[in-house]
Amino acid sequence: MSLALIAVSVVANAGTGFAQSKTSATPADVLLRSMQRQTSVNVLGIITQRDGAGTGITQTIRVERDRNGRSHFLVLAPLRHQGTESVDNGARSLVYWPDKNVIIDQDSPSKTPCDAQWRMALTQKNYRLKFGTPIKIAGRATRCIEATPIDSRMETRRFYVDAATSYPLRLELLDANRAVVTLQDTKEISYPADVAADRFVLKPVGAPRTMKFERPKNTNATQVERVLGFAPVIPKVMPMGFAMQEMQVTQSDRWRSVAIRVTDGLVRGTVYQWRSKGEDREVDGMDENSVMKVGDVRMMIVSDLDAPRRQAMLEAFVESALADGLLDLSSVFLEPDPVCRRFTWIQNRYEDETSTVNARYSLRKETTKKT
Amino acid sequence: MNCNAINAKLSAYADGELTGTEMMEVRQHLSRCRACAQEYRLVCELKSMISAMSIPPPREHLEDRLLSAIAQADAQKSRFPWRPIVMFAGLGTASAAATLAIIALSPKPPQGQDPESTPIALEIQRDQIYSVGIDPMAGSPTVSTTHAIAP
Repeated sequence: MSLALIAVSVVANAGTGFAQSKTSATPADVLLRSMQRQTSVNVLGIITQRDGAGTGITQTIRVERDRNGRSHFLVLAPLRHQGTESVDNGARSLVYWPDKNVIIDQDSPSKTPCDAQWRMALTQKNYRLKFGTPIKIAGRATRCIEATPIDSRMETRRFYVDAATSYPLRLELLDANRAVVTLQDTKEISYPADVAADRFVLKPVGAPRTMKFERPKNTNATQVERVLGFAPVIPKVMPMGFAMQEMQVTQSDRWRSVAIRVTDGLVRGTVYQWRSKGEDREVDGMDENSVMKVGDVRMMIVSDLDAPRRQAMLEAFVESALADGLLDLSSVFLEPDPVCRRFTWIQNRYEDETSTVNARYSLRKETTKKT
Repeated sequence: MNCNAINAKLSAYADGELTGTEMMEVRQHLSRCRACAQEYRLVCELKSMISAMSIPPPREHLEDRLLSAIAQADAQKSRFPWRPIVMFAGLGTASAAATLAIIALSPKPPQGQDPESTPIALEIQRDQIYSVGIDPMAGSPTVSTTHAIAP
């Protein structure tokens, strides 16, 4: 019965869908379909994915989605995240951390416009797309789209999508040694005809504390300066074909920052900038490719880019800040977080200034000692 | 060894069941990887909670019922050769359910951090959920993207 319904669903979607596209669809068409937020089918699956923090640990997650865009994720492993749940009912997005006894309640991201078309246009600028060798994943026939980057610093990515539903089943990348790294994989998948409505209702244990947030507001540089008190650094040209997607001010009284969303079409990243009050101890321990202080502004990049690419992205922000005069050159040389130690191009390009700044630095040290 | 390989050995490491070289490798990794060290602490806490549980006395006639069940299973073995696998799977599920129950009922969250004490980590985590949460290609962002930051 359910198989028959799936078949009907697939045929019903054939206007834009796969029955027709099997012969004529380009790799971009297939990839674009898998980028859409709304699926043509309900989904129930077990997936594994690499930890977003770059620790190399794989998480196992139970995934439920319905064709209306509602979703329910439950983390099964590793132990320290087990029981973490996320429910999006199309209006609100709730994330429940049982260990912390906290629920984060915010606007559903599905309310924002879908950016798949824009990202695909960028993808086609930055990658060459072709069909790869299809394989079976979790018992499903797939189509493989291989995205080879035009910029040699980026990695080749392979997307395996369900041949019948276009649902993404596996994402791989080829690292610098051409070794295959699986970022996301599907262990089990089914497309049930129906999903009970109560699957998209969060049922926490006890009475957790709920923290409610509004969606981040889109903004521009002038508004950021007025609200946050500093001009945000926005590179005119970003490395590796990345482009700015949007700039948003996070809506929280506890931590006001600007979030600059960047993407090359397939890889996303966010560069946060905020005025540091000197008490950001919790970010001090983060790896130095992801966070730094330029002047009194902290920058942090969160992305699934690897460390050298994260650093390259931050370099672009520093370079832009220097070029636009938003950053005093001395601040990249002086304590407590000398940016120049990481970026040799700064020392090379500003060789003359280096000596001046070093002299000023020595002078300041001397003065401090005397006082 | 990477984090995945280490994670698979944490339980055996806690029980001292690894070879000398493996013990050394795991110890070295734990000394420099905060995420695995945290996972190791959780494994130890879990083991300690389980070992602290009282052992319930067996119900009456357990031995008789057990022997009779074994005899029955023997008789069916030839007809249903897959049966032991199903039983094993069942045991695995029960064990996983017990583990979940212990975590859920634990009065004090193990290594739980008060979100108020880590505003930036929490805010970034929340923002990432918002920004990539709807991207099917991004998988699920339900877990911490920033736990590597917090001590």
